[in-house]
Amino acid sequence: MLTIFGSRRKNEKFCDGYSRRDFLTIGSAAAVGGLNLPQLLRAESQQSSGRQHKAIINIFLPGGPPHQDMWDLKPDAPSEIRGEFQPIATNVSGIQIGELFPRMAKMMDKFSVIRSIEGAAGGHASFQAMTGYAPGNEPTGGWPSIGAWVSKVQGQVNPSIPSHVSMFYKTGHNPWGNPGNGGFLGMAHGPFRLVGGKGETSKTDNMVLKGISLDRLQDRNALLASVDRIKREVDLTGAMDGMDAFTQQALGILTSSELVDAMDISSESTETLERYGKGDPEFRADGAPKMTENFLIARRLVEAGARVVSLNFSRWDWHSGNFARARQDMPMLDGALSSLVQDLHDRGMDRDVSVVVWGEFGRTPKINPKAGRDHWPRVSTAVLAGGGMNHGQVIGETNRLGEYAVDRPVTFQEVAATLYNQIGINLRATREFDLRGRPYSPVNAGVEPIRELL
Amino acid sequence: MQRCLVRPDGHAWKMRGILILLICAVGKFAPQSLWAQSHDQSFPLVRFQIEVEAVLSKAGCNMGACHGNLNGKGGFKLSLRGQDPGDDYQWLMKEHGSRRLNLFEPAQSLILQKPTSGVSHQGGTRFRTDSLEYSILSRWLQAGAPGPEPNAIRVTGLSVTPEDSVIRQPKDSVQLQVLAKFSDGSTADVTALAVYEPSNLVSEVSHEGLVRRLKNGESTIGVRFLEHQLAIRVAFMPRTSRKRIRFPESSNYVDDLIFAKLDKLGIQPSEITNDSEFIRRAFLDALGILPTGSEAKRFVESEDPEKRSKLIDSLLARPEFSDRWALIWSDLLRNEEKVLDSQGVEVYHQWIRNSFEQGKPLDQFVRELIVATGSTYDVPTANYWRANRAPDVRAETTARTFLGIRLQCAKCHNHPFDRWTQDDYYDWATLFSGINYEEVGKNERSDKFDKNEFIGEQIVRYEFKEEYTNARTKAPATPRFLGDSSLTQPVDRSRLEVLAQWLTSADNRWFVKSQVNRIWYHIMGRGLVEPVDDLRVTNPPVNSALLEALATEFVDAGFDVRHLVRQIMNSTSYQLSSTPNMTNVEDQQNFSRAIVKRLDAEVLLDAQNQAIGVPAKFNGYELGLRAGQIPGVRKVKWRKETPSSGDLFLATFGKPDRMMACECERSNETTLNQAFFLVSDKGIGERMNEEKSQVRQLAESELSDSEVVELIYWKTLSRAPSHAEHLFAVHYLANTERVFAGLSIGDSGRRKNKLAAEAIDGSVRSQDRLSNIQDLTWALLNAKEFVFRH
Repeated sequence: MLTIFGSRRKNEKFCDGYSRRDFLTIGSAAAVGGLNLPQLLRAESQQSSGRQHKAIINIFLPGGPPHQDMWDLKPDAPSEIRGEFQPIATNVSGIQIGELFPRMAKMMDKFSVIRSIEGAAGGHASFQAMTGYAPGNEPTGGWPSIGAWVSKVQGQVNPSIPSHVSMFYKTGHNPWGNPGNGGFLGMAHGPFRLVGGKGETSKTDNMVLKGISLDRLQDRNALLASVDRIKREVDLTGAMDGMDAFTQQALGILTSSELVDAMDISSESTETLERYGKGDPEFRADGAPKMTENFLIARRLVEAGARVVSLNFSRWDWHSGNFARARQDMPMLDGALSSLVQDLHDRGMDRDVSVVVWGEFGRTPKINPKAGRDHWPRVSTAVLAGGGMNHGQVIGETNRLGEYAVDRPVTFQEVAATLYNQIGINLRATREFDLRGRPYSPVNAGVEPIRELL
Repeated sequence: MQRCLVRPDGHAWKMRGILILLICAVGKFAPQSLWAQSHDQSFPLVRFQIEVEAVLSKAGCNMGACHGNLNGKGGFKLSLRGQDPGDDYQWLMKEHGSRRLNLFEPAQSLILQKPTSGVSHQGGTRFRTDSLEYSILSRWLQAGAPGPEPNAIRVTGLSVTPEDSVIRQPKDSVQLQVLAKFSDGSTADVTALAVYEPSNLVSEVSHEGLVRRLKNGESTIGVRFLEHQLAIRVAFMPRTSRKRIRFPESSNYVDDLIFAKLDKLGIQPSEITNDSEFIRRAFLDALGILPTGSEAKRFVESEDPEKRSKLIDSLLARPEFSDRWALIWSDLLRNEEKVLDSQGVEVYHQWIRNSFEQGKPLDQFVRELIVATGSTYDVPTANYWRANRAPDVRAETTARTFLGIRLQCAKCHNHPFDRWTQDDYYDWATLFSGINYEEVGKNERSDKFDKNEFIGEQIVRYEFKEEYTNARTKAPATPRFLGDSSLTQPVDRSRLEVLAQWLTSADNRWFVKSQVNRIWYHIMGRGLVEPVDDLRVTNPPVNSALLEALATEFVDAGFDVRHLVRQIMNSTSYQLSSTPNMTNVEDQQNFSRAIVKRLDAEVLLDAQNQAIGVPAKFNGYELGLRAGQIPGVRKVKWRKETPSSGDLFLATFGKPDRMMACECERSNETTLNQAFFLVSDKGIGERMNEEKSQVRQLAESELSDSEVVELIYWKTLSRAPSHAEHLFAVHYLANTERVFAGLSIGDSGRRKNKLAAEAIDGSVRSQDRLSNIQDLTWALLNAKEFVFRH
C-alpha cells in the first residue's frame, strides 16, 4: 500500500485528525483487504460487549416514487398537478403528509421528511441511494456502497451474521436490483444477498444446503479439519487465515442458523405480522415484489448483528395509473414502515438504527393523459427515522407546484453523510484507497451531515 | 510575561551538543531568537518558488487531504504538493492586506498563526515558532512577500545518500542527506526541507531525515523536494552471523542476483521444494491447470536427474501455455462482450492465443495492436481501439499496459508520485486523437440504458481532425512521446506506426522492463515491481539488478516470452519451497521462498473439475471448454439465462469484468461468498455425482479403499498421502457408522487400526463407499493445500 501523507513529527495530527502512524497502521491492515476477519471479530467483541451496535436500514423504492403524492403534497396547485390525494394532519403540528400514510402521520414525531433531494442523475438506478455517489467518474475498482464502507470500517458484530446484507431482489430492470457492491474496498465488503430474482428460491441460493444434510456437512467439516494439513506459516498475507475464518463463518451460518432464524418470521406474533402487513411476492413487470415482511426481517437482521441492511420494494415507475397504483402500494409501505419504526422505538433501538426510504428521483408535477407522472430528477423526497436523529421535522421545501426546491436543497451525499455520521463513522478520518492508490472518503470533500437532524 | 522554552531537539543537526537555552521573550522578539539566526545561516535565501514552496510541502499544507485539495480547505487553497508556484502565489496574494498575509506585522499573518496554532487550526500544529519553517516564512514576509521571478533559478535534480543501505543490529538508524542541484550549477543541502515518506511500518523518518528502525524488514523511503522525488531503500536486519547462510546451487543469472540480494540481507532461502510441489506449481504457473494424478506420479517417481528442466520444456510446448497467456492478455486488453460484442471477443481471443501459440515476439504483438485499423470482425487487433474509446483512455491504457506507467493522476494535476506533468499527459494523449469509429449497421444492444454496450460491427479508422486539447492550457496539445522531448509528429495514419515503433523499441526501457516484470509476476506470483504496472522512481523494484538483467535477456532473445519463462522456471529461486526458515519467515518480496496465493477463479474451478473428471457448464459455450479457455467475460447475460454454477463460481472468485486494463481488477481475495461456494456448492456436488465422474467410477471400481485413497491424493494434491493420512482416509472410507468425531490423523487406537487394516486388505467395504469417497474428495478440494498455490 502506498502511503500518501508526508512525514511529520510524532504525535502531530493531520487535518483529518489522524497521525501518520495511525494512518499507516490502518493502511497496513487494509492491505489484506477483508481477510483479517479474525482480528476484526476480536476487535469487535472487545468493543461491543454490553452495548447495542449501530445500524442502517436502507429502503429503496425503485422507479422514482411520486413525491407530491406521498410526503410533499401540493393542495394549492391546479388539479392537473395536485392529483387525487389530500394532505392529512400529523401528530406534529404544521406537518402534513399524504392521506395514504395515515399510520406514519400518527407518529410523525419519529420521522423526518426531506422534501428537497436534489442532484439525481436521472437514470433508473439504485446507485445513488445505495452509494451516495453520482454515477460515472468512478474510481478504479468502482464506488463502494454505503454498506461496504460500514463493513470495511466497522467490521462484523456477530460471526454468523454478515455485516452488510441485502434483500434487494434481482429485478428485470437490472439497476433496480443492484444493492451496490464492495467497489474498490473489495468483494469481501459487498452485500451478502439474501434474496434472489424471479424464479429463484426466495432465500439466497448459497445459504441453503443443497443435496447435502446438515449432519453430513458437519462430518465433512470435521474431515476437512483433519486433512487440511498445510503449514500455516507459509502464508503471511492472512489469506489462508481469512479463508479459514470465512469457512467457519459459512458453516456457522449454515449450522447455527442464526441468519436463517433471523429471516424466519414465523416466530413473530400474529399481531406483529398483521401490523407489517401481508406482502405480495409476485414480480410484476421489471420491478421488485412488494415484500412488506422484509421490513420486519430487516429489523430482525439488525437485532442479530447486521450493520447495514438494504431492501428494494415494489416498482414505482408509474407513467400510467399513478393514483390507482398508489392506492395499492402506499398503504403497504405505510404499514410496513410505520411498524418498523415503531418496533425500533419499542425495542430501544431507535437511537442506534437509522432508517432511510427513498427512490432514484421524483415525478413530473403535471399528470399525463394516462393518469401517470413521468420522470422528474430535479427534486424528490426521502424519509428518515431513528438513528438518534432529531425527528418530527420537515427539511427543505419545494415550490407551489412541487417542481424544484426553494429552500435547503439536500443531496444524496448529504443523506449518506448523515447515515455515516449516525453509525459512528468519522467522515474526516476515514480514508481508503482505490485500486490505483488514490485516497477517497465515504463522501466527497466538504459534504457534511444534515445539521438539522443532529 | 510569556515564557517560552526553546530546545534544540528539532534542529540538532546544526547545533548538536549545545546547551538547552531558556529564552524568555515576548511577542515579536520571539522569532529573532538564536535559533532563527541559525536558520538564517542554513537557508539564507527565501525565494518563493524554492524555500517557501518547500516549507508548504514540508509542513504538509499542500497535501491532498489539506489545502492541496481540489477545493482547498477552510477557504484556503494551494496547488497540490506545490506543483504550481504561480498559482500558489496568486492565491496567497489574493489575501494581500488581509489577515492571511500581514506584511506590516508578519507575525500576525495567518500563514504563521495557523500552522503554529496561534489561532485555532483544523490541521493542528504544523511547526513551531522556533522552527526553520517559521523562520523561512517570516523572513519571506519581512522581505515583502516577493513572488516567483520569471527565469528564476530552478531545481534541476535531486540526490539522496545513502541510496541503498542495510542496517544491522545493534545499529538502529541511518541519516539521509538530500542534495538539490540548481539550474545555475550550484548544489545545496536541503535535508531539512525535504519530505520523507516511508512505504510501510518497518521504519520511521524524522523531520530531519533520520531513518529509524521500528522492526526488521525493508522499507522504501520516498524523498521529495519541490517537484523532484526519488526513492531509497533501507533494510533493517537482525544481527546475524553471516557464515550460516548456505545458498543452494545457482542455476542461472536469476539465482545469482536473487542470492546476492539475500546475502546482503542475511536471509537464508528456503529449501528446494520436493517434486510433488514442483510439478504442481509448474503446471499451475505455466499452464493454469493441475497435473493429472498419473502425470504427477510419473514425474515424482522418475529418477531422471534432468526431469525438472525436461518437464518445463514439455509444458512450454503444450497448448495450455497459450491458453493461459491468452487469458492474461484478454484481461489486460479488455476483451469482453459489452463493448466488443461476442464475435469481436472470439476473434480477438483467437488472435491473442494464436500469437502465443506461434511464439510471436512480444514487441511485434504490441505493434500489431497499436497500428490496427479496419473492421473489428476482420482485423482482430482493431478491437484494441474499439475497447478504448477516447484519446485519454487510449493514452492511459497504452501507457499502463505497455510501459507500466500509471498516468491518470496527471490528467487533473501533476502526478504526485511520479515525474509526469499535466502537459506530459495531454501531449501523449493527443497521439491517440485520430482514431475514429464507423458503425456498420445498427447497434443491436439489448440494454438501452447502457451506453457502452454495442452489438454489431465497427470499423476503426484513422482520421486525424485536430489535436487533443490540453485541459490546463486549453490549447491544442503538442504530440510528444512520454518522457521524450518534443517531436514533429505526422498527422496521418503513420502516426500510429511511429508510435508503435517508439513504444516497442528495444531502447524503450519502460516497455521492456514492464513486460519483463509482468512475465515474472505471472510465473513467480509477485512482481519485482508491485503493483505490476506501476514502474516509477518512487516505487523501485525490489531487485533492480535482476529487472535489468531480465530486460536485457528479453531483448537479446528477441522478446520471446517462452524463453524468459523457461529461464525463470529453471532457476533454483523458482523451485524453492514456500516453507519458511528462521531467517525468511517475514520475507515476502525477495523471493527467498515461494509465494503463496489463492488460485485464480478459472484455475481453481478447472482444477476442481479435473480432479473430479467432469467439466463445468458455462452459458453460451460447449460443455467441455475449460474456464481458462473462455474468451470473454459473459457471453450470455445473466438476466437472459440463469447463470450456470460455473458462471457463478467465476464471478464469486474474482474473474474480472475487464472494465480496466489492469491486473489489479482480478481479485484473489477470500470472501464469505466464496466460503459458501466451496462448502455448499451444488455444482460440485452434482459433478461428483455424475455418471462419468471419477469419484463415482472409483466408488464403483474393484479398487481397494487403500488404492482409492492413493489415487484421490494424487488427483487432488498431486502427491501420495503420508502414512498417517493414508490410514486416516482409509479408515474414513471403510467407516459405515459415520461416527467420526474425535478421530484425527495420527490417532492411534486398536479399533481404528483394525478397521484400517481390514480396509487396506479389502476385506471390508463400506455400504457408503460412494458418499465416503465424495466426502474425502470434497475435503481435499476444500483444503488450503488445494486452493492455494504454494
